[in-house]
Amino acid sequence: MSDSQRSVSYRFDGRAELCLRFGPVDAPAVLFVLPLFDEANRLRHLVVEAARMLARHGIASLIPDLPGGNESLAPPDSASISLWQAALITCAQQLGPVSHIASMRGGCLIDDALGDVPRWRLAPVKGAQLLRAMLRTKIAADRETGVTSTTDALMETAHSRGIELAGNRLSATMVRELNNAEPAAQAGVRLVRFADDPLDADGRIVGAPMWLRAEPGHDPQMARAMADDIAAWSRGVQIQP
Amino acid sequence: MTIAAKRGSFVSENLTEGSSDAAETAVRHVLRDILGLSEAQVAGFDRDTELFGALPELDSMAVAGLLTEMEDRLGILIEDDEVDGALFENFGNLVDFAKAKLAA
Repeated sequence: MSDSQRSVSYRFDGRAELCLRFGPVDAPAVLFVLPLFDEANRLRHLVVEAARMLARHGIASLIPDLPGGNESLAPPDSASISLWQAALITCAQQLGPVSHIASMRGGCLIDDALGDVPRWRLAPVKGAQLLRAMLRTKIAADRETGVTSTTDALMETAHSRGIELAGNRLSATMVRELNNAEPAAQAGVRLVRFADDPLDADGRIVGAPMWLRAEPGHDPQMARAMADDIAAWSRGVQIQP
Repeated sequence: MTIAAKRGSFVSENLTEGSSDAAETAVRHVLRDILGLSEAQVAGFDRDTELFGALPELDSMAVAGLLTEMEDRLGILIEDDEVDGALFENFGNLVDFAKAKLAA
């Protein structure tokens, strides 16, 4: 068993997009879809550790950059929900086969890109909620500079010509798609939440919503819990590539 | 929502115990999760525990996340004009606000 980590890339829209690959070289892989926007940065360390532990279970995995995010050279305002789904399809075609998907938070909004590939979801969120949180940071930042802005006025601007929110340049297309995006409700989904989350779930893990934290952190116990749950689940519903 | 509710200075006599407990627990957990505090730390919060200005992790970005999490976990909607400095002055104000939103 190998937990070796390699940086590979996939070609999308004329650019090389970074992808981390873990585990056995020739095995079908679990495709990790990180949360969207800044939440991805706060969870990357945790997911990389989970991928390493998954490799020790003998399971390969991929953690791709989405165009416009992390190391990507694609213009951030070219990104949209549909573009990211297209990127996941391309990534799976070039670096797969992908046997399973593990998505978190906003990642669950694009994890149906590969059709009915079995999905593991941690704490899915609606796109409108992500947009609302970003609008709030804009309103708070405006207030600190003496400008009074409102959600309604900002959304009107956003819908007509895009908007920069919390450091993200969102196109009008992104705003529209994100605002309407909800995790696709289909069969073959294992919904996972934290032990103290009152909402329904198929499984519970120990941990905390580290995507909410002001600073990126790491929780080895949570990484292990994610890897163990994904490993058990993926073995139970193993699909031939 | 009344002006009093905005200021967080009202009382919550008209609430059932169940929903008020749920509100307080949810607010405690949101603060724990947003600020990365331990269960023991947030368990020690009382009505007079100061928040904004006293907790270095609670900046305006964290406030945005906190409001959205409260909406999600309590199933409420918080309007822009309901949010002001007094809301985050202390734990009691924030809990009262959540209880009032749940009762509305």
